[in-house]
Amino acid sequence: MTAEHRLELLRRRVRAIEGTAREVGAVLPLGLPEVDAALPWGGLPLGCLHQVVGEPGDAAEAAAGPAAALGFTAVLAARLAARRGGTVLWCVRRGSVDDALHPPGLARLGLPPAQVMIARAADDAEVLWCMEEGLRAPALAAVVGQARDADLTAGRRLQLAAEAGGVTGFLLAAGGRAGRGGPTGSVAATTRWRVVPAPSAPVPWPGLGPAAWDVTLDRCRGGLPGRWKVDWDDETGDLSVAAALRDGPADPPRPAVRRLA
Amino acid sequence: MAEAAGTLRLHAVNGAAEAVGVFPAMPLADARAVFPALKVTEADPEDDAAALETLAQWATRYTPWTAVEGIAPGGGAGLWLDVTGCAHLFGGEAALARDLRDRLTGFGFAVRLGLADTQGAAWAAARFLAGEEAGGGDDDGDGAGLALLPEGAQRQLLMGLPVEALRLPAAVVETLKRLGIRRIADLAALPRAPLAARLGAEAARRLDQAIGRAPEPFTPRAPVTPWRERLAFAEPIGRTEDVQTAIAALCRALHPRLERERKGARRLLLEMFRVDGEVIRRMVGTSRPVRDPDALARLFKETLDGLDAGFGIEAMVLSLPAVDPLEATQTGFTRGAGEAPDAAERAARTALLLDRLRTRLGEDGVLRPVPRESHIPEASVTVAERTPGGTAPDTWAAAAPRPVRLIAAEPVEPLAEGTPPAAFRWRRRTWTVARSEGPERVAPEWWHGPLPHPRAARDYWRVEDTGGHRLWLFRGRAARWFVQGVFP
Repeated sequence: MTAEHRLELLRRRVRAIEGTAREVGAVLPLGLPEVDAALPWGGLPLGCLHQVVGEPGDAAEAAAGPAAALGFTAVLAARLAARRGGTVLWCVRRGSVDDALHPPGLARLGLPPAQVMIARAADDAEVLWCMEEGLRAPALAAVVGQARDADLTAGRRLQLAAEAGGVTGFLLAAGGRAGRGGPTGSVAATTRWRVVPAPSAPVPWPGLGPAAWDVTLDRCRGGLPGRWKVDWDDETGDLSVAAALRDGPADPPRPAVRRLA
Repeated sequence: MAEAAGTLRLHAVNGAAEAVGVFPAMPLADARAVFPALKVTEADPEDDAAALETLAQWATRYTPWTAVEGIAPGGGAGLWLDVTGCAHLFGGEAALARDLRDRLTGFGFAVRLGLADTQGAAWAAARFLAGEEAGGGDDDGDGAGLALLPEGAQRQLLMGLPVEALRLPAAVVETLKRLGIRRIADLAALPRAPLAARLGAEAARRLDQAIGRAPEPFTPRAPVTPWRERLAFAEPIGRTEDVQTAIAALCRALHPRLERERKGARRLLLEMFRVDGEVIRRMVGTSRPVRDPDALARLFKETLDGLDAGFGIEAMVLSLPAVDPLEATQTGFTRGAGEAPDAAERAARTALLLDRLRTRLGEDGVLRPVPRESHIPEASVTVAERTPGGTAPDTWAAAAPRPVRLIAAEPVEPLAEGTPPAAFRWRRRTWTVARSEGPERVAPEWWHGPLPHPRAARDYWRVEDTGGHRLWLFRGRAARWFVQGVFP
């Protein structure tokens, strides 16, 4: 038994004691070495619940919805769909701002609409119910749900359902609402990400380059938080880390108009 | 009471009225003269018919073959039950008849029940043999209201009855009586040919049908599916868990035959018979044939929310109004969570999940987006398909970037010059454009003919504001700007 092997066994035992590493085994590496290194599993653990939120209280997100968080979630779900095959169940509230998914846009994010089923629920409770049903169905590739109000109990239920069915769930909270246990509230997910748009790097041609997202790993069981600026290239569908960010003010100074709004 | 030919006539009377000499079809004035304190209400044939229909539906707890006899003045209405092959489930024909009578009496009906080999004989028995005091004549009144003719006995018993017992039109009965033919025996004794010449074929046909010489097909009120299972409970059940257990049992009972005939259910109808006579119906559908009993039972789970069992459910019937061929044998759903199911099984299981979601969210609650050949963004998608997979996925790949969220075009208020405007207000926020990309021209689809609202060509720009938010803007008529989408 090599020292490396022994160390690995020891790590596993520690993780088992901490209760973080159910032997799910399956991990989805993000393909971003900096981010994968921050996750104790070496990637996104599967068969559990992940929470992705936008920037609460951001006027732009309040107006346009959590676009970057949606994009980040869709990229992850797309990779799961490509790897596992099967369908991604996307649960939204009927008539809400989230009920405007544009499938060609999802295709652009790597998620073929033929592999997407959109469930339109009447209210948040029904969104959560749909998610739970989906998470218990091992045939699905992933479940994405957009609910405004999910509390600790709901999160725990989803987490258990995900563990039972082995399906990975993403709870995507709408941005634009501060506090009140809503989008920012903890739902006891395995990881919680905050993804907000960031100004993209200028490109030498007239037009727009890859979209830039400010990705923060807020909470991660058994791991450390981190923050990165991630570029998403909509031509190739690739993610790449542009820069590791430190906590504190984001590097570009926020313009005055934004504070006025 | 009902109005007929300008006169108010009695439509139907109860036993007490009959006792004082008031009869159906009597003019109201005459009836009042006979019995001044007579209490009359307006006849409501539609309501009566509806009640009879409900009763016929309720009676499917005994047999799938039930039918309603039309309502006619003089108490012609009735209920038919073909209990062939069903009686043994209730302990024999006599027990079934007693059970039926007791339940109907419990609902508040006065019951006359006839059972015979032929429809005609049963009709006659119910109306002319099953008097309140007639029948078996047991001391405890066990035979009250019942007239159960033994097998093959209808001929002999019918002979003594008046000719009215043959379901003949009133005019024919009138003629027979004028001829002095009062009992069925008189009619049967007549030579056939002159009888038919004089009275038409009707009298001879009804006679033959009643004694079983001519066939009479039974026409049930609803087409009956051969895929049907029934479960009766010794004690009425009310708890949802018990109902679910019963559903599972019914699904398991149907399973062997489905497997043998290689069929799967497409639609399932569950009828729950409440003690008080109400029938609760639940219909669910599947997007592909299913025969796994557990999966079928689970489909009903969502429909049982808020189930009102009243004083309890005493019987349940599960039928499959639609079945389709299902060749491949489904393997058990016992695979571990970690193992990857193969594509076919995965598709079947996904379809089951979607069916279950649909029972709660509605038929249009779970949909797959399908591309449409259109350059107009809002027309490029239709959501209609029920199952995932299918069309070629690459029909989606638009050459140009498309937003992930498409909204109805909303006008913006430009705050600065430029194409697109360097700053604008939209949804109560000021957006300062840092970069933009465009235009992408989306031309109207002239080949689809003149539209009701001829649309101008639109020039789309992708803009990014100083915060990195990306929006999809287009310039419409009169150089006005609109937001139509949000990019990630």
